[in-house]
Amino acid sequence: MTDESVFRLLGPIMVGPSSSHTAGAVRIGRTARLLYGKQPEEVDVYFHGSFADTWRGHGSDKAIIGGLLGFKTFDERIKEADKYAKEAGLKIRFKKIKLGKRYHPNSIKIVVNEGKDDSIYVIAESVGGGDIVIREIMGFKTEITGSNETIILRHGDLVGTLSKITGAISSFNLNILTIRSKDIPKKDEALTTIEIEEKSPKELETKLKKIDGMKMVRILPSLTEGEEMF
Amino acid sequence: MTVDSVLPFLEKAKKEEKSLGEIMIEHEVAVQESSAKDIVFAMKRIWEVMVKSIEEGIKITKRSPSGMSGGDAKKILAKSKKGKSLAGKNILKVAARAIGVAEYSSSMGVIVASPTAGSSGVVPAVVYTAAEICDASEEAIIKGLFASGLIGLVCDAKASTSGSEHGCQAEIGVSAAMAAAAAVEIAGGTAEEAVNAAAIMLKNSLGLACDPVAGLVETPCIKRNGMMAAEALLAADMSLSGVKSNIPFDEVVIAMDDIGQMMPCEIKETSEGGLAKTKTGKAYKIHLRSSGTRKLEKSED
Repeated sequence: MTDESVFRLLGPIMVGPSSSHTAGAVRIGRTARLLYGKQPEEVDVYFHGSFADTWRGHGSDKAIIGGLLGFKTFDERIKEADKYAKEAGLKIRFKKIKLGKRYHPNSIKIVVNEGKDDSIYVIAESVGGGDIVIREIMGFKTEITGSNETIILRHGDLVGTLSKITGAISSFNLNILTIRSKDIPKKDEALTTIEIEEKSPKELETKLKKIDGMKMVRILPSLTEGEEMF
Repeated sequence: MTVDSVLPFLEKAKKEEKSLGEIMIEHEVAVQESSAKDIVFAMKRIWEVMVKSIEEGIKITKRSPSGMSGGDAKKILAKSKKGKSLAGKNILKVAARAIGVAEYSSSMGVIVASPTAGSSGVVPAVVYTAAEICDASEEAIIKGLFASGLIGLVCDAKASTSGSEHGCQAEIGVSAAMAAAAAVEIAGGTAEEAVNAAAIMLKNSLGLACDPVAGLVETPCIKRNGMMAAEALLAADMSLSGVKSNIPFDEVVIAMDDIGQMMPCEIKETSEGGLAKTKTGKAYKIHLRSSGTRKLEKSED
Protein backbone atom coordinates (compact mmCIF):
# COMPACT_ATOMS: atom_id res chain seq x y z
CA MET A 1 0.00 0.00 0.00
CA THR A 2 1.28 3.42 -0.91
CA ASP A 3 2.61 5.80 1.72
CA GLU A 4 -0.13 8.34 1.17
CA SER A 5 -3.11 6.05 1.75
CA VAL A 6 -5.27 6.63 4.83
CA PHE A 7 -5.75 2.86 5.04
CA ARG A 8 -2.20 2.59 6.34
CA LEU A 9 -3.39 4.41 9.46
CA LEU A 10 -6.84 2.80 9.60
CA GLY A 11 -5.77 -0.80 9.10
CA PRO A 12 -4.88 -3.57 8.85
CA ILE A 13 -7.85 -5.54 10.10
CA MET A 14 -6.20 -8.08 12.39
CA VAL A 15 -6.55 -10.39 15.35
CA GLY A 16 -5.15 -8.64 18.43
CA PRO A 17 -3.40 -7.89 20.62
CA SER A 18 -0.01 -7.30 19.02
CA SER A 19 1.00 -6.68 15.43
CA SER A 20 4.47 -8.09 16.04
CA HIS A 21 3.69 -10.95 18.45
CA THR A 22 0.33 -11.99 17.03
CA ALA A 23 -0.03 -10.92 13.37
CA GLY A 24 3.70 -11.52 12.69
CA ALA A 25 3.47 -14.96 14.32
CA VAL A 26 0.52 -15.91 12.12
CA ARG A 27 2.59 -15.04 9.06
CA ILE A 28 5.62 -16.98 10.26
CA GLY A 29 3.44 -20.05 10.84
CA ARG A 30 1.88 -19.68 7.42
CA THR A 31 5.33 -19.39 5.82
CA ALA A 32 6.33 -22.72 7.37
CA ARG A 33 3.17 -24.30 6.00
CA LEU A 34 3.83 -22.92 2.51
CA LEU A 35 7.41 -24.16 2.62
CA TYR A 36 6.28 -27.61 3.63
CA GLY A 37 3.82 -27.52 0.76
CA LYS A 38 0.87 -29.14 2.50
CA GLN A 39 -0.81 -29.35 5.90
CA PRO A 40 1.97 -30.14 8.40
CA GLU A 41 1.21 -32.95 10.84
CA GLU A 42 3.97 -32.71 13.39
CA VAL A 43 5.58 -29.41 14.27
CA ASP A 44 8.09 -28.16 16.83
CA VAL A 45 8.02 -24.44 17.50
CA TYR A 46 10.91 -22.72 19.24
CA PHE A 47 10.41 -19.30 20.83
CA HIS A 48 13.49 -17.09 21.06
CA GLY A 49 13.93 -13.78 22.89
CA SER A 50 10.82 -11.75 23.63
CA PHE A 51 8.58 -14.45 22.17
CA ALA A 52 9.80 -16.78 24.92
CA ASP A 53 8.79 -14.16 27.53
CA THR A 54 5.52 -12.80 26.21
CA TRP A 55 4.04 -15.50 23.96
CA ARG A 56 1.24 -16.39 26.37
CA GLY A 57 -0.14 -12.88 26.81
CA HIS A 58 0.04 -12.19 23.10
CA GLY A 59 -1.44 -15.52 22.02
CA SER A 60 1.62 -16.18 19.89
CA ASP A 61 1.05 -19.94 20.27
CA LYS A 62 -2.46 -19.74 18.80
CA ALA A 63 -1.20 -17.33 16.14
CA ILE A 64 1.50 -19.79 14.99
CA ILE A 65 -0.99 -22.66 14.95
CA GLY A 66 -3.42 -20.50 12.95
CA GLY A 67 -0.67 -19.78 10.45
CA LEU A 68 0.24 -23.47 10.20
CA LEU A 69 -3.42 -24.11 9.38
CA GLY A 70 -3.20 -21.51 6.60
CA PHE A 71 -5.20 -18.76 8.33
CA LYS A 72 -4.65 -15.07 7.53
CA THR A 73 -3.96 -12.41 10.16
CA PHE A 74 -7.63 -11.35 10.37
CA ASP A 75 -9.12 -14.84 10.70
CA GLU A 76 -11.39 -15.08 13.76
CA ARG A 77 -10.65 -18.82 14.01
CA ILE A 78 -7.16 -18.00 15.35
CA LYS A 79 -8.63 -17.52 18.82
CA GLU A 80 -9.70 -21.18 18.81
CA ALA A 81 -6.71 -22.43 16.84
CA ASP A 82 -6.17 -25.41 19.17
CA LYS A 83 -9.60 -26.79 18.26
CA TYR A 84 -8.92 -26.44 14.53
CA ALA A 85 -5.45 -28.00 14.93
CA LYS A 86 -7.05 -31.08 16.46
CA GLU A 87 -9.50 -31.33 13.56
CA ALA A 88 -6.63 -31.05 11.06
CA GLY A 89 -4.55 -33.66 12.91
CA LEU A 90 -1.77 -31.17 13.63
CA LYS A 91 0.46 -32.10 16.57
CA ILE A 92 2.50 -29.24 17.91
CA ARG A 93 5.09 -28.77 20.65
CA PHE A 94 6.32 -25.42 21.92
CA LYS A 95 9.83 -24.98 23.27
CA LYS A 96 12.05 -22.20 24.46
CA ILE A 97 15.34 -21.68 22.63
CA LYS A 98 18.34 -19.41 22.75
CA LEU A 99 19.36 -18.97 19.14
CA GLY A 100 22.17 -16.58 19.98
CA LYS A 101 22.82 -12.88 19.87
CA ARG A 102 22.93 -12.55 16.10
CA TYR A 103 19.24 -13.34 15.91
CA HIS A 104 16.58 -10.65 16.27
CA PRO A 105 14.94 -10.55 19.75
CA ASN A 106 11.60 -11.51 18.14
CA SER A 107 12.61 -14.75 16.44
CA ILE A 108 10.86 -18.08 15.98
CA LYS A 109 12.19 -21.38 14.66
CA ILE A 110 9.71 -23.85 13.22
CA VAL A 111 10.59 -27.45 12.42
CA VAL A 112 8.11 -29.60 10.50
CA ASN A 113 8.39 -33.41 10.75
CA GLU A 114 11.68 -33.43 12.64
CA GLY A 115 13.88 -36.42 11.74
CA LYS A 116 11.79 -37.46 8.74
CA ASP A 117 12.89 -37.30 5.08
CA ASP A 118 10.56 -34.46 4.20
CA SER A 119 11.48 -32.37 7.25
CA ILE A 120 11.90 -28.63 6.76
CA TYR A 121 12.84 -25.85 9.11
CA VAL A 122 12.67 -22.10 9.04
CA ILE A 123 13.88 -19.28 11.30
CA ALA A 124 11.99 -16.02 10.97
CA GLU A 125 11.86 -12.64 12.71
CA SER A 126 8.86 -10.53 13.48
CA VAL A 127 10.16 -7.04 12.92
CA GLY A 128 7.10 -4.91 13.77
CA GLY A 129 3.74 -3.96 12.34
CA GLY A 130 3.15 -7.58 11.32
CA ASP A 131 6.13 -7.54 8.97
CA ILE A 132 8.44 -10.55 9.03
CA VAL A 133 11.82 -11.53 7.64
CA ILE A 134 12.70 -15.15 6.92
CA ARG A 135 16.32 -15.47 8.01
CA GLU A 136 17.07 -19.12 7.51
CA ILE A 137 15.62 -22.05 5.59
CA MET A 138 17.26 -25.40 6.33
CA GLY A 139 20.65 -23.96 7.15
CA PHE A 140 20.50 -21.55 4.24
CA LYS A 141 20.61 -17.84 5.08
CA THR A 142 17.83 -15.85 3.49
CA GLU A 143 16.35 -12.37 3.62
CA ILE A 144 12.83 -12.96 2.45
CA THR A 145 10.31 -10.31 3.55
CA GLY A 146 7.28 -11.57 1.69
CA SER A 147 6.56 -8.15 0.28
CA ASN A 148 6.77 -9.85 -3.10
CA GLU A 149 6.08 -13.32 -4.37
CA THR A 150 9.09 -15.54 -3.64
CA ILE A 151 10.10 -18.76 -5.38
CA ILE A 152 12.06 -21.20 -3.24
CA LEU A 153 13.88 -24.03 -4.97
CA ARG A 154 15.97 -26.95 -3.76
CA HIS A 155 17.87 -28.57 -6.56
CA GLY A 156 20.89 -30.67 -7.44
CA ASP A 157 24.11 -28.75 -7.71
CA LEU A 158 24.29 -29.22 -11.47
CA VAL A 159 25.97 -27.01 -14.01
CA GLY A 160 23.49 -24.83 -15.86
CA THR A 161 20.57 -25.31 -13.47
CA LEU A 162 20.41 -21.66 -12.54
CA SER A 163 20.17 -20.50 -16.13
CA LYS A 164 17.37 -22.99 -16.75
CA ILE A 165 15.54 -21.56 -13.74
CA THR A 166 15.90 -17.93 -14.81
CA GLY A 167 15.01 -18.94 -18.35
CA ALA A 168 11.79 -20.52 -17.15
CA ILE A 169 10.89 -17.40 -15.18
CA SER A 170 11.59 -14.99 -18.01
CA SER A 171 9.61 -17.17 -20.43
CA PHE A 172 6.53 -15.98 -18.52
CA ASN A 173 7.67 -12.35 -18.76
CA LEU A 174 8.20 -12.10 -15.01
CA ASN A 175 10.69 -9.63 -13.58
CA ILE A 176 13.28 -10.99 -11.14
CA LEU A 177 13.88 -8.58 -8.26
CA THR A 178 16.46 -10.57 -6.29
CA ILE A 179 18.07 -13.95 -6.71
CA ARG A 180 20.23 -15.84 -4.22
CA SER A 181 21.67 -19.28 -4.61
CA LYS A 182 23.94 -21.26 -2.32
CA ASP A 183 25.11 -24.81 -1.73
CA ILE A 184 23.43 -26.56 1.16
CA PRO A 185 26.23 -27.65 3.54
CA LYS A 186 27.23 -31.34 3.28
CA LYS A 187 24.81 -32.08 0.46
CA ASP A 188 25.16 -31.98 -3.30
CA GLU A 189 22.31 -29.59 -3.33
CA ALA A 190 21.68 -25.88 -3.58
CA LEU A 191 18.88 -23.68 -2.36
CA THR A 192 17.79 -20.81 -4.57
CA THR A 193 15.41 -18.03 -3.62
CA ILE A 194 14.00 -15.67 -6.20
CA GLU A 195 11.76 -12.69 -5.58
CA ILE A 196 9.63 -11.73 -8.54
CA GLU A 197 7.70 -8.55 -9.18
CA GLU A 198 4.44 -10.03 -10.42
CA LYS A 199 2.21 -12.89 -9.43
CA SER A 200 3.33 -16.00 -11.29
CA PRO A 201 0.97 -18.24 -13.26
CA LYS A 202 0.45 -21.84 -12.11
CA GLU A 203 2.32 -23.05 -15.22
CA LEU A 204 5.60 -21.65 -13.86
CA GLU A 205 5.57 -24.13 -10.99
CA THR A 206 5.01 -27.01 -13.41
CA LYS A 207 7.81 -25.82 -15.67
CA LEU A 208 10.26 -25.41 -12.76
CA LYS A 209 9.46 -28.90 -11.47
CA LYS A 210 10.49 -30.35 -14.84
CA ILE A 211 14.04 -28.97 -14.66
CA ASP A 212 16.68 -31.72 -14.23
CA GLY A 213 17.65 -32.28 -10.61
CA MET A 214 14.81 -30.17 -9.18
CA LYS A 215 13.92 -31.52 -5.72
CA MET A 216 11.50 -28.94 -4.36
CA VAL A 217 9.55 -26.01 -5.80
CA ARG A 218 7.64 -23.71 -3.49
CA ILE A 219 5.92 -20.50 -4.44
CA LEU A 220 5.35 -18.18 -1.48
CA PRO A 221 2.71 -15.62 -2.39
CA SER A 222 3.17 -12.08 -1.12
CA LEU A 223 2.32 -12.05 2.59
CA THR A 224 -0.46 -9.52 2.21
CA GLU A 225 -2.18 -11.39 -0.60
CA GLY A 226 -5.87 -11.60 0.21
CA GLU A 227 -5.64 -8.68 2.63
CA GLU A 228 -5.97 -5.94 0.01
CA MET A 229 -8.59 -3.26 0.55
CA PHE A 230 -9.08 -2.84 -3.20
CA MET B 1 4.91 12.19 -2.48
CA THR B 2 4.44 11.91 1.26
CA VAL B 3 1.72 13.72 3.15
CA ASP B 4 3.87 15.80 5.48
CA SER B 5 1.70 18.86 6.13
CA VAL B 6 -1.97 19.58 6.73
CA LEU B 7 -1.68 22.96 4.98
CA PRO B 8 -2.38 21.98 1.34
CA PHE B 9 -5.46 20.09 2.51
CA LEU B 10 -6.71 23.00 4.63
CA GLU B 11 -6.24 25.42 1.73
CA LYS B 12 -8.11 23.14 -0.63
CA ALA B 13 -10.95 22.66 1.84
CA LYS B 14 -11.30 26.40 2.36
CA LYS B 15 -11.14 27.25 -1.34
CA GLU B 16 -13.60 24.57 -2.41
CA GLU B 17 -15.79 24.97 0.70
CA LYS B 18 -15.53 21.29 1.52
CA SER B 19 -15.09 19.40 4.78
CA LEU B 20 -11.83 17.66 5.65
CA GLY B 21 -13.45 14.25 5.15
CA GLU B 22 -14.55 15.20 1.63
CA ILE B 23 -11.07 16.41 0.75
CA MET B 24 -9.53 13.19 2.08
CA ILE B 25 -11.90 11.01 0.05
CA GLU B 26 -10.71 12.90 -3.06
CA HIS B 27 -7.11 12.38 -1.94
CA GLU B 28 -7.63 8.63 -1.52
CA VAL B 29 -9.33 8.38 -4.91
CA ALA B 30 -6.22 9.94 -6.47
CA VAL B 31 -3.81 7.73 -4.48
CA GLN B 32 -5.57 4.45 -5.26
CA GLU B 33 -6.55 5.46 -8.81
CA SER B 34 -9.94 4.12 -7.89
CA SER B 35 -13.52 5.41 -7.73
CA ALA B 36 -15.04 7.25 -4.76
CA LYS B 37 -17.56 4.43 -4.53
CA ASP B 38 -14.84 1.79 -4.03
CA ILE B 39 -12.93 3.96 -1.58
CA VAL B 40 -16.04 4.56 0.53
CA PHE B 41 -16.87 0.85 0.36
CA ALA B 42 -13.42 -0.04 1.71
CA MET B 43 -13.89 2.38 4.61
CA LYS B 44 -17.31 0.88 5.34
CA ARG B 45 -15.61 -2.49 5.77
CA ILE B 46 -13.20 -0.88 8.26
CA TRP B 47 -16.16 0.67 10.11
CA GLU B 48 -18.04 -2.66 10.25
CA VAL B 49 -15.07 -4.30 11.96
CA MET B 50 -14.76 -1.34 14.35
CA VAL B 51 -18.44 -1.52 15.33
CA LYS B 52 -18.26 -5.25 15.89
CA SER B 53 -15.17 -4.82 18.06
CA ILE B 54 -17.09 -2.32 20.23
CA GLU B 55 -20.13 -4.57 20.52
CA GLU B 56 -18.04 -7.60 21.44
CA GLY B 57 -15.72 -5.65 23.73
CA ILE B 58 -18.43 -4.27 26.01
CA LYS B 59 -19.69 -7.82 26.63
CA ILE B 60 -16.37 -9.22 27.88
CA THR B 61 -16.39 -10.62 31.40
CA LYS B 62 -13.42 -13.04 31.27
CA ARG B 63 -10.04 -11.93 32.58
CA SER B 64 -6.98 -12.19 30.34
CA PRO B 65 -4.25 -14.83 30.96
CA SER B 66 -2.13 -12.20 32.76
CA GLY B 67 -5.01 -11.32 35.10
CA MET B 68 -4.58 -7.63 34.27
CA SER B 69 -7.62 -6.97 32.08
CA GLY B 70 -11.11 -8.00 31.03
CA GLY B 71 -14.57 -6.85 32.15
CA ASP B 72 -13.80 -3.19 32.82
CA ALA B 73 -15.70 -1.90 29.76
CA LYS B 74 -18.83 -3.67 30.96
CA LYS B 75 -18.53 -2.12 34.43
CA ILE B 76 -18.10 1.40 33.09
CA LEU B 77 -20.99 1.03 30.66
CA ALA B 78 -23.26 -0.18 33.48
CA LYS B 79 -22.34 2.95 35.46
CA SER B 80 -23.34 5.13 32.50
CA LYS B 81 -26.82 3.64 32.59
CA LYS B 82 -27.76 4.21 36.20
CA GLY B 83 -27.04 6.45 39.12
CA LYS B 84 -25.03 9.61 39.28
CA SER B 85 -21.94 10.08 37.13
CA LEU B 86 -19.30 12.67 37.87
CA ALA B 87 -17.84 12.81 34.37
CA GLY B 88 -21.14 12.53 32.51
CA LYS B 89 -22.80 9.69 30.63
CA ASN B 90 -21.16 10.35 27.26
CA ILE B 91 -17.69 10.32 28.79
CA LEU B 92 -18.43 7.00 30.49
CA LYS B 93 -19.81 5.56 27.27
CA VAL B 94 -16.86 6.62 25.12
CA ALA B 95 -14.39 5.28 27.71
CA ALA B 96 -16.27 1.97 28.01
CA ARG B 97 -16.29 1.53 24.25
CA ALA B 98 -12.58 2.32 23.84
CA ILE B 99 -11.63 0.01 26.71
CA GLY B 100 -13.97 -2.63 25.28
CA VAL B 101 -12.18 -2.64 21.94
CA ALA B 102 -8.80 -2.79 23.67
CA GLU B 103 -9.98 -5.70 25.85
CA TYR B 104 -11.36 -7.44 22.78
CA SER B 105 -8.01 -7.01 21.04
CA SER B 106 -6.29 -8.40 24.11
CA SER B 107 -8.49 -11.48 23.99
CA MET B 108 -7.54 -12.08 20.34
CA GLY B 109 -10.61 -10.46 18.84
CA VAL B 110 -10.51 -8.94 15.34
CA ILE B 111 -9.80 -5.21 15.43
CA VAL B 112 -8.63 -2.43 13.13
CA ALA B 113 -5.15 -1.14 13.94
CA SER B 114 -5.75 2.61 14.21
CA PRO B 115 -2.96 3.44 13.95
CA THR B 116 -1.76 0.41 15.98
CA ALA B 117 -3.36 -2.57 17.71
CA GLY B 118 -2.48 -1.17 21.15
CA SER B 119 -4.30 2.08 20.42
CA SER B 120 -7.15 0.49 18.47
CA GLY B 121 -9.93 1.53 20.85
CA VAL B 122 -9.86 5.31 20.59
CA VAL B 123 -10.94 6.05 17.00
CA PRO B 124 -13.86 3.56 16.95
CA ALA B 125 -15.14 4.65 20.37
CA VAL B 126 -14.93 8.39 19.66
CA VAL B 127 -16.49 8.10 16.19
CA TYR B 128 -19.26 5.83 17.51
CA THR B 129 -20.05 8.11 20.44
CA ALA B 130 -19.79 11.37 18.47
CA ALA B 131 -22.16 9.91 15.86
CA GLU B 132 -24.57 8.86 18.61
CA ILE B 133 -24.53 12.32 20.21
CA CYS B 134 -24.94 14.12 16.86
CA ASP B 135 -27.38 11.56 15.46
CA ALA B 136 -25.04 11.38 12.45
CA SER B 137 -25.55 9.36 9.27
CA GLU B 138 -23.24 6.59 8.09
CA GLU B 139 -22.01 9.00 5.41
CA ALA B 140 -20.89 11.44 8.10
CA ILE B 141 -19.17 8.62 10.01
CA ILE B 142 -17.23 7.56 6.91
CA LYS B 143 -16.18 11.17 6.27
CA GLY B 144 -15.07 11.42 9.89
CA LEU B 145 -12.84 8.37 9.46
CA PHE B 146 -11.32 9.83 6.31
CA ALA B 147 -10.68 13.13 8.11
CA SER B 148 -8.82 11.22 10.85
CA GLY B 149 -6.58 9.73 8.17
CA LEU B 150 -4.89 13.04 7.36
CA ILE B 151 -3.84 13.50 11.00
CA GLY B 152 -2.33 10.02 11.11
CA LEU B 153 -0.56 10.43 7.77
CA VAL B 154 1.20 13.65 8.82
CA CYS B 155 2.25 12.14 12.18
CA ASP B 156 3.61 9.08 10.42
CA ALA B 157 5.51 11.11 7.80
CA LYS B 158 7.02 13.69 10.15
CA ALA B 159 7.41 11.68 13.37
CA SER B 160 6.26 8.11 13.96
CA THR B 161 3.25 6.01 14.87
CA SER B 162 5.27 3.36 16.68
CA GLY B 163 5.71 3.08 20.45
CA SER B 164 9.09 1.43 20.01
CA GLU B 165 10.31 4.47 18.08
CA HIS B 166 8.65 7.43 19.83
CA GLY B 167 6.88 6.08 22.91
CA CYS B 168 3.15 5.97 23.57
CA GLN B 169 2.61 9.57 22.43
CA ALA B 170 3.10 8.22 18.90
CA GLU B 171 0.47 5.50 19.33
CA ILE B 172 -2.30 6.61 21.68
CA GLY B 173 -1.51 10.32 21.17
CA VAL B 174 -1.86 9.96 17.42
CA SER B 175 -5.01 7.85 17.73
CA ALA B 176 -6.61 10.46 19.98
CA ALA B 177 -5.62 13.31 17.64
CA MET B 178 -7.11 11.33 14.73
CA ALA B 179 -10.26 10.72 16.76
CA ALA B 180 -10.62 14.41 17.73
CA ALA B 181 -10.50 15.42 14.06
CA ALA B 182 -13.06 12.76 13.20
CA ALA B 183 -15.39 13.96 15.97
CA VAL B 184 -15.26 17.55 14.67
CA GLU B 185 -16.06 16.36 11.15
CA ILE B 186 -19.02 14.33 12.45
CA ALA B 187 -20.27 17.33 14.43
CA GLY B 188 -20.24 19.37 11.21
CA GLY B 189 -17.12 21.42 11.93
CA THR B 190 -14.76 22.86 9.33
CA ALA B 191 -11.46 21.32 8.21
CA GLU B 192 -9.64 23.98 10.17
CA GLU B 193 -11.58 23.13 13.35
CA ALA B 194 -10.86 19.42 12.85
CA VAL B 195 -7.11 19.95 12.52
CA ASN B 196 -7.13 22.41 15.43
CA ALA B 197 -8.84 19.79 17.64
CA ALA B 198 -6.11 17.32 16.66
CA ALA B 199 -3.44 19.86 17.62
CA ILE B 200 -5.04 20.50 21.04
CA MET B 201 -5.25 16.76 21.62
CA LEU B 202 -1.77 15.84 20.46
CA LYS B 203 -0.16 18.58 22.59
CA ASN B 204 -1.66 16.95 25.64
CA SER B 205 -0.12 13.55 24.88
CA LEU B 206 3.46 14.66 24.24
CA GLY B 207 6.06 12.70 26.15
CA LEU B 208 3.88 9.73 27.07
CA ALA B 209 6.00 6.72 27.96
CA CYS B 210 5.48 3.23 26.52
CA ASP B 211 6.20 1.03 29.54
CA PRO B 212 3.95 -2.01 29.24
CA VAL B 213 3.87 -4.36 32.22
CA ALA B 214 5.21 -7.84 31.37
CA GLY B 215 5.65 -6.67 27.77
CA LEU B 216 1.93 -7.03 27.13
CA VAL B 217 -0.51 -4.65 25.47
CA GLU B 218 -2.60 -4.37 28.65
CA THR B 219 -1.21 -2.15 31.43
CA PRO B 220 -1.33 0.82 31.01
CA CYS B 221 -2.55 0.47 27.41
CA ILE B 222 -6.15 -0.66 27.83
CA LYS B 223 -7.34 1.95 30.34
CA ARG B 224 -5.34 4.58 28.50
CA ASN B 225 -7.51 3.93 25.45
CA GLY B 226 -10.51 4.92 27.58
CA MET B 227 -8.88 8.00 29.09
CA MET B 228 -7.69 9.29 25.74
CA ALA B 229 -11.05 8.69 24.05
CA ALA B 230 -12.65 10.94 26.68
CA GLU B 231 -9.99 13.59 26.08
CA ALA B 232 -10.50 13.43 22.32
CA LEU B 233 -14.18 14.33 22.72
CA LEU B 234 -13.19 17.25 24.92
CA ALA B 235 -10.57 18.43 22.42
CA ALA B 236 -13.24 18.35 19.68
CA ASP B 237 -15.65 20.38 21.82
CA MET B 238 -12.93 22.88 22.74
CA SER B 239 -12.10 23.41 19.07
CA LEU B 240 -15.78 23.75 18.12
CA SER B 241 -16.17 26.36 20.87
CA GLY B 242 -13.58 28.51 19.12
CA VAL B 243 -10.54 27.72 21.30
CA LYS B 244 -7.37 27.77 19.15
CA SER B 245 -4.16 25.83 19.61
CA ASN B 246 -1.34 28.39 19.81
CA ILE B 247 1.01 25.94 18.15
CA PRO B 248 -0.24 24.81 14.71
CA PHE B 249 -0.73 21.08 14.15
CA ASP B 250 2.29 20.58 11.84
CA GLU B 251 4.57 22.08 14.50
CA VAL B 252 3.05 19.96 17.28
CA VAL B 253 4.03 16.91 15.21
CA ILE B 254 7.59 18.24 14.94
CA ALA B 255 7.59 18.65 18.73
CA MET B 256 6.44 15.03 19.09
CA ASP B 257 9.30 13.90 16.88
CA ASP B 258 11.74 16.00 18.88
CA ILE B 259 10.54 14.60 22.21
CA GLY B 260 10.41 11.08 20.82
CA GLN B 261 14.07 11.26 19.89
CA MET B 262 14.97 12.48 23.37
CA MET B 263 13.10 9.68 25.16
CA PRO B 264 15.30 6.87 26.50
CA CYS B 265 14.78 3.38 25.07
CA GLU B 266 13.77 2.07 28.51
CA ILE B 267 10.36 3.69 27.98
CA LYS B 268 9.94 2.75 24.34
CA GLU B 269 8.14 -0.61 24.47
CA THR B 270 11.12 -2.46 25.94
CA SER B 271 9.49 -2.89 29.38
CA GLU B 272 12.79 -1.93 31.01
CA GLY B 273 11.47 1.15 32.78
CA GLY B 274 8.45 2.86 34.30
CA LEU B 275 5.39 0.80 35.23
CA ALA B 276 6.99 -2.40 33.92
CA LYS B 277 9.76 -2.04 36.51
CA THR B 278 7.51 -1.46 39.53
CA LYS B 279 7.24 -4.15 42.23
CA THR B 280 3.71 -5.07 41.17
CA GLY B 281 4.58 -4.85 37.48
CA LYS B 282 7.35 -7.40 37.95
CA ALA B 283 5.01 -9.65 39.97
CA TYR B 284 2.57 -9.76 37.03
CA LYS B 285 5.39 -10.86 34.80
CA ILE B 286 6.18 -13.78 37.12
CA HIS B 287 2.48 -14.66 37.48
CA LEU B 288 2.05 -14.81 33.72
CA ARG B 289 4.78 -17.44 33.39
CA SER B 290 2.79 -19.90 35.48
CA SER B 291 -0.73 -19.26 34.15
CA GLY B 292 -2.56 -21.16 31.41
CA THR B 293 -2.44 -24.80 30.41
CA ARG B 294 0.24 -24.82 27.72
CA LYS B 295 3.80 -24.90 29.00
CA LEU B 296 7.01 -24.38 27.08
CA GLU B 297 9.27 -27.42 27.02
CA LYS B 298 12.97 -26.96 27.61
CA SER B 299 14.94 -27.18 24.43
CA GLU B 300 18.19 -29.11 24.28
CA ASP B 301 19.94 -26.75 21.85
